[in-house]
Amino acid sequence: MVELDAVTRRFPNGVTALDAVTVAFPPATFTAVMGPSGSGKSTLLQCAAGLDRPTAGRVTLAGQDLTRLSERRLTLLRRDRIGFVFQAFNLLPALTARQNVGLPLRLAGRRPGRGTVERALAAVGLTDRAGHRPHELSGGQQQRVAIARALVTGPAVLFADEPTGALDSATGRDVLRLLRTLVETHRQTIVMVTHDPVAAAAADRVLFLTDGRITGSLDTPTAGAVARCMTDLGRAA
Amino acid sequence: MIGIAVATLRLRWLSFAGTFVALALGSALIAAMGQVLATTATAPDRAPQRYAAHPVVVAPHDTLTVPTRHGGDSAPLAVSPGLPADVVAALPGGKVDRIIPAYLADGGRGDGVGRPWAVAPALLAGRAPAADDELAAAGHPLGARVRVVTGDGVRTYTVTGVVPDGLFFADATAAKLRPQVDALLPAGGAGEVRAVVGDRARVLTGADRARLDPGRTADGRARNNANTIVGIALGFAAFVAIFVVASTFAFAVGQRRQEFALLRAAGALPGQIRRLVYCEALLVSLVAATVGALTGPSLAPAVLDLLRGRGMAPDWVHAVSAAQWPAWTAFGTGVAVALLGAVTAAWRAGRVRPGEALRESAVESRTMPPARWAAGGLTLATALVTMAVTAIGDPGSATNRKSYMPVVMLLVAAAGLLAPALVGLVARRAGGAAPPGTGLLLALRNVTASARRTAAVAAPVLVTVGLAASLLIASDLTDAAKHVLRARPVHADFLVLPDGTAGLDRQLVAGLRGVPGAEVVVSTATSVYTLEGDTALIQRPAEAVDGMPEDGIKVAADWGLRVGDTARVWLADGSRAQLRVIEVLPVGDPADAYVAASKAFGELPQVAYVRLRPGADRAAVAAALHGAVEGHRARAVPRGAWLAAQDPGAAPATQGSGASPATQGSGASPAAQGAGQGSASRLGLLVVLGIVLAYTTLALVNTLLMAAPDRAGERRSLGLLGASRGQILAWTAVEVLVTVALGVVLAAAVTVVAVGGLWATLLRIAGPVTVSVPWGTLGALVGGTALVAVATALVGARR
Repeated sequence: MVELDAVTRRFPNGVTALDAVTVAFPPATFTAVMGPSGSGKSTLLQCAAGLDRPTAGRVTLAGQDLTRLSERRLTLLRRDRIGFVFQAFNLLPALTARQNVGLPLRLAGRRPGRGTVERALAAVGLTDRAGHRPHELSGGQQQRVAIARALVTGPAVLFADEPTGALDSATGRDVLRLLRTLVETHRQTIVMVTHDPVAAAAADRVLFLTDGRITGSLDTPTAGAVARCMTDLGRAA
Repeated sequence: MIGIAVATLRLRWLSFAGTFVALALGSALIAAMGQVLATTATAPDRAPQRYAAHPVVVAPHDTLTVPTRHGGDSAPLAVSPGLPADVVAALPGGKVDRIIPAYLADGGRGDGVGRPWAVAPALLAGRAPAADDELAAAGHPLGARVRVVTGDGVRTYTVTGVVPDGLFFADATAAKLRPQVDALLPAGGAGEVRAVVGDRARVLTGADRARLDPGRTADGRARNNANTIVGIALGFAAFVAIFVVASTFAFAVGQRRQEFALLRAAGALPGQIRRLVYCEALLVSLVAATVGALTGPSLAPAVLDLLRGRGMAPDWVHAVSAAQWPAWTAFGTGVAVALLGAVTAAWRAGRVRPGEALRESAVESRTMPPARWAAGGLTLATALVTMAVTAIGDPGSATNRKSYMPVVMLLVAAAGLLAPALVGLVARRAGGAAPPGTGLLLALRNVTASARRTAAVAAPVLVTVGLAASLLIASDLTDAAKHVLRARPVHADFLVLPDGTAGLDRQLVAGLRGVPGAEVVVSTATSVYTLEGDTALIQRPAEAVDGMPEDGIKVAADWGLRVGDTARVWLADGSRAQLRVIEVLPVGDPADAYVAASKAFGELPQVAYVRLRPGADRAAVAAALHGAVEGHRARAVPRGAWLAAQDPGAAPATQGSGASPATQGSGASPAAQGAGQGSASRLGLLVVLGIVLAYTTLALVNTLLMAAPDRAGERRSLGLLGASRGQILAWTAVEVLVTVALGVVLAAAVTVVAVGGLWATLLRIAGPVTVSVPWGTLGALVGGTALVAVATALVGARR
């Protein structure tokens, strides 16, 4: 679904965040990207999602080369084909949960159909909180609204950046279970950046990133296995 | 987008409160000033006073019209030539009016004018004056002996008749006192009279008769003053509002970068983000401009009263205009100002990258975007070049408020634009310092760590203090320079000046000349006219003085003539003359030209310069002078006392006398006139300062309140580290004070540049002028600003 081909991202200050990374995220899979701070995992996510442009290399989404698109085409593509969930500050504080979920449709100039928005809210189990503003919701509820919003356009890929980072472990588990369900029942493709082995264990596959390179991967991981891998990486570095 | 904008406004109303207040205030000011302007500009002239009882008046022409390449140009005549004798002869039966300068020697009330009995109102008691020493007057009993000063001198008259108002001589006496006829009140109808008179004189009827009223010039000046001051206030209200809206909007957008990034990540195009910002501006402005436009007009009567109280507005107008356009204009301007102010903010919001939503907190972007560097640099260059051009090319114009005010404002605006860079510069210098005391250390670190945030608070302080200091000091500086220029050519030991009258009478002048040991030169303010490039007729102020050859003239350098050239001019009464240039005046001479005393055409001199002859006894001359002026409504003052009275430091006293009815009525004393103009432009200056001050205070309060929540986390961590609430508040106060101090330092730098440039320019024409700094006013201003800043910051920190 998403393929990175020798993607390099160098910042003006000389830091190479990604160093010729080649990786593919197949459809209906849940991939976790792990790595220590500064390993380039957020940059990887931004480049894969078309939020940032690589210095070299190619990123394709469903066969379309993102690096060749204009800023405008890229935005339109993001609007329709890509969903985002961030660690924090996911929702516009001024809008209710329902309005937040309907936002991508509104931006596309479509009147958000009540059914579409309600279905998305129902999918994350928040039908009864639709009229509340973000500050009236718990952290977990906010994150579920964010996921509903990311899904409302029926995106090809859902990118999540530390979606459980700001949540307590119980709420975090709920969110991970929700993501898992999306992959299994809706065949949603998900790419998640995290540094939490428990979160990573919810994925089908874990990629390890160190100093801008992929240094390992683990299929059908468990939290313990992921933690061991991380410790090894830390020692190697 | 409107939905999102409305929701944002409802949640973040505090962020938009500053914009709202600025816009509402701006609209209200525009509406109020517009209403005042509508009133003063369209109000009818004062109804005819002097000739109210006479339907038709024949008066001499009061303008000089000369043929030019473009048909013709005209200018008001300095001296009325009087009605031609053939016109008077052609209208037998008409009443002859003469306007004779006449004052009661005891300084009693009166408008300074005596007229022939022919035009007097009905007698209340007694009989008409018939002999040369009789008159009809108001406020004196029949048979009273009164001393009256006319151009001829002092004379004692017997009151034979009592009239409601004025001073009336017998017709023959009046003709002797003033041979020329100033107006004729014919018996016939207007059409008939016009046919007889032709174009030899003006025939005035109806409201036009008001043109002959004595207060006519003062009325026109009042109307002009009101229009000018209100116009300045209008322009500034709109101009400054744009900057306040721009800065508060930019700040609000800066705070919401993550929000915009989130929208971008969710698929919003940059154009959609820009539209969102414009939409917010539009919504705020619609409400604010409505409030302003509705409340503004009700402020107009108060503004009008204020101006009228200072003689700066027509005092015969009482009904405020009911025009609707000021309110509509204010509304439209308010909305336009908001949209203009939002331009840069919208542009910057549209450039937020979607990736920023991923970051925990927005990293401060570049301190100075290139556009700001360019705008600041250009403004600075314009100010400096203008300053240099004035200094080199036309230093004489530097004493004019209108010429240096824009330069000072450009300098301050440039400093405001470059503030982040300047703050950064100062911050880097002070950054290494490790002062004792946690508060100061924290404050220094915080202030230097974020130049942009510091600049947002320091800039309003810089503009407030810098503008006030520069304008006030520069204003005093030019006043001092003007004083030097006025005083320098005066080498006399004594000056004899009229005491509230039109001038020094001939008897008095003769008496002065008779004082032993004194050399007397009298000077009369008059005008000469030149035709420039065969297109424009220019009225030039001139002094008619003793000791000039009849056909000679001294001219200023800008006449472009050399000694020996022939100057083709029109004299004060409109007659043509060819005069020989005998001297070119040095730069800075207060007069544009000097002509012979006869060229004043009987106008009374406003000053006599008295010099002691070698060997003369100063005390004896002084005593003789005092004796000579006794009873003539004049006073003799030593040069030192005169200089002291002219000093700008004594300006309030001068202004006070300028506002008294006596001097205002005559309007002839150059000193009184200067003070009147100074007062008008000084009021304009204060109005400008007041408006700028209101807005900068608003910007300061707004910025501090908006920034306070951003620092909540910082305060919380200080609390967790064990700082008490009191300590945290104290450190907040110290930080704000350091920022204000930074603004004051920058303001001082701007003031030094602005005032220094002006001083250097004035050096060429007036020599080194003493710079007087109004420490009290500036201290109060800085203190007030600091107080407002600290109070606001503390309120923000408590929330």
